[in-house]
Amino acid sequence: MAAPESGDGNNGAARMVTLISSDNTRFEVEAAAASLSQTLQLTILDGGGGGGDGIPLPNVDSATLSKVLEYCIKHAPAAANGGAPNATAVDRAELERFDNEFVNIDQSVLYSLIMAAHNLEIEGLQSLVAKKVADMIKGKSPMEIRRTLGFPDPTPEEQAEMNAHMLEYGWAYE
Amino acid sequence: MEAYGPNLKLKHSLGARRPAHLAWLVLGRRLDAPPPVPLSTDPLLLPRRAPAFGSDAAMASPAAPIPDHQAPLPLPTVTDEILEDILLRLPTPTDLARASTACASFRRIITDRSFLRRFRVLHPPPLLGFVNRQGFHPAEPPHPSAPLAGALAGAADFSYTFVPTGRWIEPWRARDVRQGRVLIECVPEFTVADAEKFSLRDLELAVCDPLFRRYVLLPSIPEGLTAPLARPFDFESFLAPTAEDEDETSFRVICTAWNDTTLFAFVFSSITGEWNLAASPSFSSLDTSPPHYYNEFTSFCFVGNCIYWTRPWVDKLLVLDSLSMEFSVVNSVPSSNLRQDNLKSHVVAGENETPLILFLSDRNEDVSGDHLHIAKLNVSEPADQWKLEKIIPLPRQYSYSIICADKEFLFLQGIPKEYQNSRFPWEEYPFREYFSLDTKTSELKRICGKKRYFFDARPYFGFPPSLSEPCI
Repeated sequence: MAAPESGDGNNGAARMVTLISSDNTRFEVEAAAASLSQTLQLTILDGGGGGGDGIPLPNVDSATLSKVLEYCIKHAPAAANGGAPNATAVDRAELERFDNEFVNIDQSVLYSLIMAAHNLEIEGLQSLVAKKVADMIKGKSPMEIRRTLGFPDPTPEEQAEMNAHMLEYGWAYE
Repeated sequence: MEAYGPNLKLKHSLGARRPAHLAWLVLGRRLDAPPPVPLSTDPLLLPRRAPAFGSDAAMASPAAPIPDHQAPLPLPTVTDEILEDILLRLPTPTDLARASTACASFRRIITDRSFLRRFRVLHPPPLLGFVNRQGFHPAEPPHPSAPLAGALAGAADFSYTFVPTGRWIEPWRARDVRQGRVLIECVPEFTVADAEKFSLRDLELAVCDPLFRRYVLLPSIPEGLTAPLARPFDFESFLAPTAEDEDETSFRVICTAWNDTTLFAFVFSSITGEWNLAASPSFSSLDTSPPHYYNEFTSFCFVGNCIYWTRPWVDKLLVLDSLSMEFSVVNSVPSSNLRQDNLKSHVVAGENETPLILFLSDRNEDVSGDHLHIAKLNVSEPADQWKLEKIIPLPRQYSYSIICADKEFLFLQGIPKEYQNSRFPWEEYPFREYFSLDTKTSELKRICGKKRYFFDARPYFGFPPSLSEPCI
């Protein structure tokens, strides 16, 4: 790997860093993309992750990490532009299209992404997945919400609480 | 905690008094759902990895076989922070209430005051109806806010019986509504003929929260402040918008009054508990003339922090910035005399809260219906120039007039065309429909139908009772 050990010796080629998933798969990615993670940003600024070292991520498996990095690589150019105030409408529309497709995924992948986005503190991804879960909940009845999110059916005590709550919030059930 | 299996059985009865909408809950499983299966193979019950989060599910972690991949997976154990992030993104109060019913850990977060505050900042409150001197008029079905509006009507007191009786025989009547607060007034009845006997000191004002039945009685405007205002022609009072970063229970009331030479703006702050004279420009310094008629100032519109009066000058707009308390005048307002019987134009919020002026017209190529003309003020050079932004045609079966404007919404009264040219005099039409028009999307929504004309109505935007908090 020709990537310099720190940002100082950058000779024009984008600096690369290596991330290591919990199942020991190594991912080489541009430092700018990995830096969308607030958690990784400081380590990368300090010159970490370059060369043969790599940054271990014991909480993220390779399937999830590869998905996270797909997001970071797509969003890195806009983020480098300071949130892309000058982005054209076309660029923004393209990112929006990407985001919509990106979360059109299996529920298990989505949940892994929620945890990973949170652990790695990737703000854009955190809101994107939160919005996706909110979209899964909206327009549904309480029981449908429970089933959608895979909660067990309520115990009699829980059911009694739910019934009392429905009476109190009757306007939401007309 | 016991296993969940036994509870899969049909639920205990709610008793005979249950409302119809609870019927499906009693069944426990909907009829179209698959029959209960033995515990060990029911994918609904078996979290694949971590136990499902939340107090009501955390104990459920039997040995986890690989679930059927078709079945929904339990949301993994997540922090309150992540849950808040998800719940804040629910689009409507109804979605929030249903999520709150669904699960105790959602409920714990949703009923937290700081969560509700964040939700209310992120989501503009829906329109629930109108407030006028007669009380609250809720949105009616099929308007999407009708259930919320009904809940508000049932819980709040828009007769203000919780406010001590005023000095005059007249009851408290609403003058303005904003952010859940109602500015109410008690004034001796006076007519145009004896208006000159009226002193601002006769004006009794209170700000109240009809839902939580709280009120603040405002002191009279001190004589020292009103002294320069000999013989006011008329006055107007309204609630200034509260900024997001202000304390949610503080408010300001602005009272404008004028005589033949000068315009006065008094401000009451709930923090100081006092009135101040904030501005008193002469009409000549504003390059305009005093209003000619009584009641001319009573049509005002708020856009952002500014109050706009489109009258009394057909071609001018009077602006008061409620933060700096400075008056200014915008010239060259496009002529609103496109329809003989509807000279009044209004101001609504455009993009980035630039004011848009709008007026009704029936002078169009297509003379069979009303059209709404919307013009935008050009703030760059040449200044004060207006450009026609768009024309919105309105459904033809009604003849329209503008009631009031707020934010990006315009409120319209529609009189069925069949009543026009009929034997009914104007004020006795048997039915009037009230609509909101979103000037951004051009969407026209029916709010309610009334027999009486709503000349003094103000829109009420708010959250239903259980998601609201005291605003005084």
